[in-house]
Amino acid sequence: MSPPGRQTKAYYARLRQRIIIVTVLVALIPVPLVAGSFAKYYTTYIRGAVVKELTTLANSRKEAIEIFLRERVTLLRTLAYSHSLRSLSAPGELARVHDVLQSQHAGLVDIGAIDADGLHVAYAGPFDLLGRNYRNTRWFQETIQNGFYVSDTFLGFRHVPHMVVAVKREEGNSFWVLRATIDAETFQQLVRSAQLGRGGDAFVVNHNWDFQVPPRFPTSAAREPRLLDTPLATTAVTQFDVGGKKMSQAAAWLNSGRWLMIIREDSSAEFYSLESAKRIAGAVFIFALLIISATVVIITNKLIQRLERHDAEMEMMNEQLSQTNRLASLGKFAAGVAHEINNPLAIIAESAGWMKELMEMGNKGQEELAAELKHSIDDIRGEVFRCKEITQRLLGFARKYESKLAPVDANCVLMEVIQFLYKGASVRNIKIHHRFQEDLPLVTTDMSQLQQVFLNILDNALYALHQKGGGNITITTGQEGEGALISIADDGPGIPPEVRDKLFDPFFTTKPVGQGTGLGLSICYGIVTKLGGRLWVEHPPEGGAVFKIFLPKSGPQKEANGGS
Amino acid sequence: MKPRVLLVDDEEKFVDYLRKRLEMRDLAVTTANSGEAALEILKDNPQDVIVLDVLMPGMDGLATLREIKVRQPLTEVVMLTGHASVESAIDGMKLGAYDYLMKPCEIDDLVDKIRKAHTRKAAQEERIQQARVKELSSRRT
Repeated sequence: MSPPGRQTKAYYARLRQRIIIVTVLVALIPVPLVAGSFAKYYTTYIRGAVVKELTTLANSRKEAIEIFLRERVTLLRTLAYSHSLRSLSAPGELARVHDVLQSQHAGLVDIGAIDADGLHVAYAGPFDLLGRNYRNTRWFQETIQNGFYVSDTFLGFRHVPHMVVAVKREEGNSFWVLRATIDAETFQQLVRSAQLGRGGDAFVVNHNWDFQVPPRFPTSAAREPRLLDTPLATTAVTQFDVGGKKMSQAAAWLNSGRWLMIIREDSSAEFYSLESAKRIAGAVFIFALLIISATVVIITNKLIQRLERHDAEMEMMNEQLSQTNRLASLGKFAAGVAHEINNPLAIIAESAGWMKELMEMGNKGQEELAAELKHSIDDIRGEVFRCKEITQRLLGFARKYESKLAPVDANCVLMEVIQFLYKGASVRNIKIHHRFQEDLPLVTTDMSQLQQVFLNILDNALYALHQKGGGNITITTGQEGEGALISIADDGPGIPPEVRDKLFDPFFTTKPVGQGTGLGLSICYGIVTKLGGRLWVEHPPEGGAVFKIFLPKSGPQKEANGGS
Repeated sequence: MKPRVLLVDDEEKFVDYLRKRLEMRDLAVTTANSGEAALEILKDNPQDVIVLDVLMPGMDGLATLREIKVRQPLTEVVMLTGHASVESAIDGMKLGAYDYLMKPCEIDDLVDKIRKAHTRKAAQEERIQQARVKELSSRRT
């Protein structure tokens, strides 16, 4: 339950801050989420496109190279099968073939035939290789085993890359091998044509990472064992970032798995559109942040202003209700006071009447008469002062109508209220007991409002006990922590459980129509809360009701800028 | 015989002065400061008229009146009320009080009402007496 009425500036500032933060967050959270998922899907899409493109390129290069190599093997095989070893061994024959081939296929360096024992039996070319034995060389063994052989490239005497191609010819029960050295320029051209863009590269290595086709940028083509693990029949595409560039790389095996072709491409350009989209999204986000924040701040300010105004109006209305309640209770007690004054007035009237009669009778001695008259006069004076006391009490009440915060002794306020109600209570057979702590700490509070609270609660207790035909009210005060605790207990019928929740609700009353406004306790609650204290009810199991009021020594905390 | 009057009020001084003034006016006055005390007196001392304050601690005026009317229905009661309202007085008259007066009151008004009440009571008793005589004589014949 929050106290009605105006709150502090700090409260509104806090509320405002909370509304703004929550609203802006809720409004803005979807933006990065949407942007993020778009970026993710777009990235995936671009990556997919890049992979596809690179795979296609790698495959076409691979195809071209394989065709090139196969052509060389096929040519040689055709040659081998269209000649016998003997015919090729005939002097001049191989030289003729060499010339024909060279005229058709530029790049043939030499050609030679080797018999089953590995002996170079025929040779045409610039070197003197005739009679050499290749029986134990690896290429010879492999040629015998596989039927053909393509060597790694090497730099020949002219410092031009070369490669050896050999095929095996079965002839009768034996076989022989036709071997040719060709320059690898064409092969390397085929690979290099895959070097795309400024940052692109394409090269071929063997299992030892010896370059078969050297890279354009040797520094970035260091051995990568991971690539050598690429499965034989696949074209593997990987992506990585180097120096702020998004590189894509495809790897595929060539030449029956002896060479690995690696094609690298700078895909930054493809990703560029994503980057710019990100920049635009960022700008939009900041723009949205500004617009939304500004809107939220403006709307919240208006809202808080309206709330403040509304609260102020509420407080004014509460104030008015409180005044009305005050006047009503004052009116009620004024009637009580009028009744109380009539008693001494009746005594005065009787006393005066008696004096008059005494003098008229004249049957008493001078001294006796004087004594009687003096006695009556004293009585009259006594009753007059009794009246004066009552009127002064009433005046005291009226005077405290103006309210201000001051150190107050709750005992004194209670005592005044008790004196006020004592007579009315005793004629209803209600006894008011009090057990006050003598040195009760002074509490900073509004005396007249406190009086109103006590009057209201005691009036309720009196009403309850009157219905029952009498009873006891016990008022106790004591120090509790940094303040005073006042407890007002009655042994009346108690408060039924079903109405306990509604006790402090405005306009809730159990009194018959016309006897209560139902505002008393709600106003008490408001007053005590405003004075920085607490008001609550306890319901002892043995019956009755105990209203407890705690008032802090320091008084109201919130209203630093003075009371109402 | 002087009319016997019982004054009941919790204000002792009021009762004192009123007793003195009523005695001067030829009335036999007894006083009590509470309803309970008044009923105690009535047990042994029957009264003609009772002047009864409405608002008293303990047993209040109306409760005392009710009890008096049960015990001694012929006794007349004049209610005294300090209240600005006449409601309690009207309640009293419904319960059988003869009349009421507002405090403070003029002594002459009070005496007047006491005497009238006494007359009424006397007349009532007279009629009862006559009725008894008639009954007795009719029995004889």
